Amino acid sequence: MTVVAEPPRARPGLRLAIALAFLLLFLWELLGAVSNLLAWAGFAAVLHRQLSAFAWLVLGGGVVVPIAAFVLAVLLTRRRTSGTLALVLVVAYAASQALTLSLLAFFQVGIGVR
Amino acid sequence: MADPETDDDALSWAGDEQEIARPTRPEAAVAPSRVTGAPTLVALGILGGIALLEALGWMRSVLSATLEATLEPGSGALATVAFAVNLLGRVAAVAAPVLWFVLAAWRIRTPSRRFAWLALGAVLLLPWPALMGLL
Repeated sequence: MTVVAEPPRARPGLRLAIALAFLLLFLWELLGAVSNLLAWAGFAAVLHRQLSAFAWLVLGGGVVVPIAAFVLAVLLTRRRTSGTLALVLVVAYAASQALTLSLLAFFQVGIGVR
Repeated sequence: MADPETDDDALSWAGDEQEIARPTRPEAAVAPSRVTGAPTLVALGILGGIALLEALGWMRSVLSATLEATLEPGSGALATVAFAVNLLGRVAAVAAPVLWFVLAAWRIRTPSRRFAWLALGAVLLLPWPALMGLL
């Protein structure tokens, strides 16, 4: 007689809850990047100037980074366990924060703060 | 027959077999993934050291005056929550290189992929704020 072990069930509800919890953190980071971009664009408009290509690149990069980090983390772990999803999202969030600070530093150098 | 590990989309994660059932291949039962020879250990040590140095660089970065000035505690409940979340982000940035190293070294099975992800993390997470302050 052959005993076939029943495969453990996947828990899509838990995965969704983890993804949504981290999504809030990524959205907060995205909100900061968008408000930063709008604030500098508004500041340039007040001075009757336009943001330079470098400023668009760096500030736009700040908008793209959290979106890309979250989407990549979810895509790379779509067939993995919820634990793996949580671990990868933690690292993606941390890396996203580091990259955002790097872009902020580039921007500060570009506008002559540093 | 195709290599049993090449059909994964991007990464091979250790421990994932516990929750989600995957197709079984008898030949793949003994995966040659956890080879820990001396060169592998040396490479892991070097990349781990780089991750630690980068974490120190990030610590220096977030404590610099220019970045510290972008993080202010406000008054009121909403401002306090916003400050706490932003502070969490700074802590995460400091821990990022070490977290990346630990995750890649611990969870990615295939040695070539593991080192590709470790190298990517080492390049991606360079502490530019501190580096630009030094230059």
